[in-house]
Amino acid sequence: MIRYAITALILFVLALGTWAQESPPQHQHQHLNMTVVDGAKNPELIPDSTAYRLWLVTVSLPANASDTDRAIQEAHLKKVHLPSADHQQLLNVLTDFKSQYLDLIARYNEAAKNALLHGGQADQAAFQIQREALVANARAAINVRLTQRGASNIDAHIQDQKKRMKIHTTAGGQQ
Amino acid sequence: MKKYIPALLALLLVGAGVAQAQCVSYSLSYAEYTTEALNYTPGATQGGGTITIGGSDQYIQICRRMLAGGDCTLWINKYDTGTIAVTVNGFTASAPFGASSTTSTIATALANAFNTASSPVTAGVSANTVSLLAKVTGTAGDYPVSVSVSSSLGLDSFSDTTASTMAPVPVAHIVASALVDGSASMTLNQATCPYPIYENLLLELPTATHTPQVTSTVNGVIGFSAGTPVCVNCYLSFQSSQDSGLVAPGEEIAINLEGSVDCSESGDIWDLIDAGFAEFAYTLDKFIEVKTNCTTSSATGITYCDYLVAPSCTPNTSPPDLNPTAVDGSDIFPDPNYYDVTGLGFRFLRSSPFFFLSIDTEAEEVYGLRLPAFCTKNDP
Repeated sequence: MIRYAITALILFVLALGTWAQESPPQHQHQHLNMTVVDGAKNPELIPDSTAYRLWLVTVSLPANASDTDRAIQEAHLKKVHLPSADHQQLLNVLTDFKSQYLDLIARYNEAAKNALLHGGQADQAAFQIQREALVANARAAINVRLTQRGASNIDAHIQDQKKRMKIHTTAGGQQ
Repeated sequence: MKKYIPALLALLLVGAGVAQAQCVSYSLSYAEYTTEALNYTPGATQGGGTITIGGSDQYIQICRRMLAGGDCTLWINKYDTGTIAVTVNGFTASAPFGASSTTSTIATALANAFNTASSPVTAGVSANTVSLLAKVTGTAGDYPVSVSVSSSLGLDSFSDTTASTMAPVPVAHIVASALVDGSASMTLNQATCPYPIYENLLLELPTATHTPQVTSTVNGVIGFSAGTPVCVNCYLSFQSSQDSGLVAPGEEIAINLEGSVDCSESGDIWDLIDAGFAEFAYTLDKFIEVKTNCTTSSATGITYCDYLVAPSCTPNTSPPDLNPTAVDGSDIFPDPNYYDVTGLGFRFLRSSPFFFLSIDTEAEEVYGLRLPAFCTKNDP
């Protein structure tokens, strides 16, 4: 009796394996070892370039932004309490940054889609270098075009906002 | 023979799993940034007031076992029950109380009773205080407020409950925003992936997508938004904002923002929740006639300084949640006597104080005499 049970069990497992092999191979997301940087606990571990990027992306608008979006942007920018002369200068920097950021992502995503068709990858490292350069350019523009008080207000604000930023990265992932 | 069955089964299943895992290398990197902003127009007011629940449930002692001489050997406590009713412009909200009631539970029950369609006000609650805000704009919302407490035992339970007549208070919106920014990366390993899994994955991956999402609950209002689906190795950057509706000073609102990425093949592959509490804070500060850190703009000739201030609140709201030592001022205006200072406070836990960045605050010049004012105080 036991022999039959074992045979039946093996057949069942083999059948299960065969079924699994023949089923559409939906890609699986394994449980990954995640490195978590929580700015609320360790703001010093959020790099300045990342903090600037997240803030710049959040407070900048695309050219076709709605009035509601612009009201939200103003509410966010008011927190920085810029001298009035700096406000328009910052808007110009933000508009340039947003358009270049979206353009960079669009180009990268096009390359990523094409690479996937051949089982390959787009050049992620090159993308990250360009992304960092965009952020560095925007920071430089803030320092050059705004008053010293305005630029230092923005920097103090972004340093403080690190408390509200979190980064999740797995091995191989690059922030 | 029986003892080999589990081992055999485990071997077969592990073998199948290894084959799958050898096909795909996977990594991800996402950042989430959540932040709030105050949408406040100086001078914008609406009828507002507060109800403060005070006191406690009272009881009487009843003798359960009386001796022949008149002494009692067993006393029991009989707790009071009753209702606290608050009437605003003819609308009455009430909350029952009993032995287990606290000032906070009653405040919450009253706020819930006011937050109905037929009520003339919206209500927020913070500890034992209910904040009322008229639904109509302007002075039409300066309603009288009355409080009555009924007691089944005729005791003074919660008799320290008070309410202020509604008067113009500054109002603002709190906007909560969340950004999800980053990418996943998936590589097929042809050398280690058995036929036909590799070939099938090669066909499947180009059509699979990742979609960024933000789910938010701000001041009880639930929102959901999703970005454009992108390829599984594409970079995504998606942000969404949610408005709290009108908020009065001192009204604390709960904020819950969740960023996530949904895979068309596997469902939710990443999510992150950020939760906390925000307050529209208000402080009246007196300018102490000292200016520091002055700089003059070469373009405009305007001189900007830190104007040193001290709080000028009522004793029971001192120190206020928002308590700057200086505000930004300039010589565009004559030196004021006072500043109305507003700001946005945030805290992750109600047991923590709010944190403010001094430059998050907005200061409006006030001239002439000003009596000590109501300042917001929710800090522990």
